[in-house]
Amino acid sequence: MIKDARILTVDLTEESYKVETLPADTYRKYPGGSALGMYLMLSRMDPEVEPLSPENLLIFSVSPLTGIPISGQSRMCVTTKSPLTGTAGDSQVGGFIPAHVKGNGYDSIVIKGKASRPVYLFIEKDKVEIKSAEKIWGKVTGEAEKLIMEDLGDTKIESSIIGPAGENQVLYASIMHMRSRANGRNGVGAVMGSKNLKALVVKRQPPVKPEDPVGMKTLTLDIKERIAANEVMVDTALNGSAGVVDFHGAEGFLPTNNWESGVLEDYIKTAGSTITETILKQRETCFGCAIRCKGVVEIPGKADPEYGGPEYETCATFGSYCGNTDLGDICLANQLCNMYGIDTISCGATIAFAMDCYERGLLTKEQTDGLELNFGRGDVFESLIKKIAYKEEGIGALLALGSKRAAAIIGNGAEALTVTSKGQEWPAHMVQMKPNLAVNYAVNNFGADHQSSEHDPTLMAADDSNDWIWANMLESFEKCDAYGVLDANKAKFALATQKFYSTLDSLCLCQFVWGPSWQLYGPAELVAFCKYGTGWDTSIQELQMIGERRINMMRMFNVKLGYTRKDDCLPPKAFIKMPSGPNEGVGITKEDFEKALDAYYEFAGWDRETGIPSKETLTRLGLEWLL
Amino acid sequence: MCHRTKLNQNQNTINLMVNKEETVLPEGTSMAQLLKLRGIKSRSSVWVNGNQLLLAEYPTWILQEGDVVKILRVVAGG
Repeated sequence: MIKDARILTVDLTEESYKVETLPADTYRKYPGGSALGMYLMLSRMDPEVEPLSPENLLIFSVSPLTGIPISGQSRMCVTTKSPLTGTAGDSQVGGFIPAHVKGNGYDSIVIKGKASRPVYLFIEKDKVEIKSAEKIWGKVTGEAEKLIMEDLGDTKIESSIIGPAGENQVLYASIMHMRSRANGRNGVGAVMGSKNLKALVVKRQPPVKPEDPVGMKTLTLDIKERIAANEVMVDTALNGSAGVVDFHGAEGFLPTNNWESGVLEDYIKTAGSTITETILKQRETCFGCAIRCKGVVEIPGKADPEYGGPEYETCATFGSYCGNTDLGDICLANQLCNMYGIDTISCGATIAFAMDCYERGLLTKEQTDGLELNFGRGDVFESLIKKIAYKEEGIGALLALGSKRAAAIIGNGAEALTVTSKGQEWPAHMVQMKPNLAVNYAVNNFGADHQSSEHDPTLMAADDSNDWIWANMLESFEKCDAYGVLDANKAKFALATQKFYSTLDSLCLCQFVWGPSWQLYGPAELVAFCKYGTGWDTSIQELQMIGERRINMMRMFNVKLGYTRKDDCLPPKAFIKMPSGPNEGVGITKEDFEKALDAYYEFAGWDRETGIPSKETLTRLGLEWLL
Repeated sequence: MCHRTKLNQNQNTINLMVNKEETVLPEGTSMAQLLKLRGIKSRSSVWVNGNQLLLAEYPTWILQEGDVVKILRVVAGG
C-alpha cells in the first residue's frame, strides 16, 4: 500500500522548519509529484499571490515510486505559481536528486517565505539546515556546486541550484541539477531566486527498497532485451533526444525562422546523428536508468563537457528557430544557459522572436545594443544570453521578460510574431505535423508543453505495434493516416493521453521510459510497478483518474485567477500552411481547432463556453473542496 | 521526379508510387527492403493501395507493379 507521505515545510523568513504527515488515503488521491504539489499549493496558498513574492510557495515533490531501482523513476517535480505564465506552474527534472530526496525520507519539500540573506538548504534525513550562501550567490551553477561541496566538506551530495538568471529573476530562469539537468520551464528558478534560496542540497542515500523485490525483477531482468527490441529506445540510447532533429528535419517539420517554415536547409548539421558522429564525448544516465540518453559533448575552446550537451529542444530553439546550423553555437548556447540557469526553450525561442522582429524592422540595431539579430547569426548567442542572464539594460532586460511581454513593449504588431501559449514559448513540435498538440498547447494549464500528451504519429502506427496497442488501453481511437488532421478523434486522444502523462508527472516517471505508446514500459507495466514497488493494487482506470484530477486541480487554480476559454488559444503562426518541403501545404485551420476544442471540453466535462470544469466533474474526481 | 534504385542490367523492375513520387524498384522487393533502401526505421507506418500493413508483414510483403505506397514516420517526443 501507499504509505503516509512525509512533508517537510521550510519557512525561510522565520528560518524554521517542520515535518508533517499526509495520511496514506489522501496521498493515494494525490500520489506525488505534480498532483501532490498542486494539492499542497491549493490547500495552503491563495492563487492571487504575486509569483515573485515571499507568499508564493516553491514545492519540490517526488512520489511513492521514486528511488526504487528501475529505469525512468528518478524524477522530481517543482510546483509553484509561475512568474512567466501567471498560472499554476510545473516543471520536471531527472538525474539523481529525486531518488535521494526520497532516500532521505521526504515526499515533498515546501519552501515558503524569503530568507533575509542568500541561503541554501541542506537535508540529511532528520537533519535540516538553512546555511549561508553569501559566498556562493552570484556564481554560475557549476562553480556553485563545487563551493557547496567545499562548504559541507562532502562530495556525496546532490543539489538543485540556481544560477545568476534565477538570482536576477529572469522570468524563464531554471533550476539546474548536475549542471545539465533542468527544472527548466515556467520560470521556477526566478521564484527560487526571489526567496534568496541558492540551492536545495541532499545527502546521498542508499536506494529505496521495493515492497516485492521478486516481482520487480519481472520488470527489470530482461532490460537489455527490452531495449534492443524497441527501435526508439535504441535510437535514444544512440543519439539521445537530439535524434528527433533527424526525423523532423527529414519530414520538413522543424520549426524554422521563428516558425515561418518547417524546412531548414542543412538541418543535418544540427542533428543528433551528427552530434553522435562528431562531438559526443559520452552518454550519462539518471539514477537506476539503463537508457543513458543524456549526451555530453566536447568542443575544445567552445563547449565544456561539464555542462552536458544539447537536447532536441535546444538543438531546435538555438538551431532551426534561429535559422542557425552551426552546431558549435548551439552547444555554446546550451552551456551558457546551463551555467546561468536559463530555460533553453524559452531563451532560444525568445531570441528567435527578436530575430524575427529585427528582420522586419521592429527592432533596430540601436535597440539591440549593436547586435545584428538576423536569422542564422548564431554568433550573437554568447553575448545575448549573458545580457539576458544579468538583465542588462537594453536588449538583455527586454528579452529576460520572455517574448510575450517583450512584444507588448516593442509594439507595432510584434505580438503577432510570438509563438506562445499562456505566455510560455512553444516547444519544437509543429502542430501542422502533430495537430493534437494544438489542443494540448492551448488547454495546458501551465502553457505550451510537448510532454503533456502523446504525439499524433501514435495514431498512425500499425495495428500490431505497441504504439497502437498501448494507446488503445486508455481509450479506443480511430486510425489516422495523414499529417494535419485535427478532429474529435484527436481531441479524445489529446485528453486521454494527457491524463496518462499527467499521472506520469504525478508519479514522477520519465516519459521516455514510461508511456502509452513507443516507450520502454506501457500502462500495464506501470500498474505492475505500483504493485511490486509499493504494494499498491491499482488499475489503469485509477491511474487515469489521478492524472485527470491533477489536470482539474491546475485548471481550478487558474479559474480562481479568471482564466477561461479565451486563454486556451493559439498564436497566428500555428495556422501557417507548410510553405515548402516534403509536406508543403499541410496545416490546420482555425475552424478545425475550435471544433476540436469544443470536443475536448465535452470529453473533459468542462463547460464549452468557459472552459471551466463542471460541478459534476469535480465531484466525480473528489475535488468538491475546490468548488 | 522519379526515384530509381540502383539496378542490375538484366534485372526486371516494377514501377510504383511511394509518397507521391514515381519509383522504380527491382521485382520482388519487400516492404522491409524498401524501408531500408530509403533509410527509414521499420516501425514507420505503411499503407499500400489504401490498406495499412502490420509490422509483421513488412519482411514478406512483396511490392507489385502500380502499387501506391504511403510511408509515415512514427515520430514521438523529445
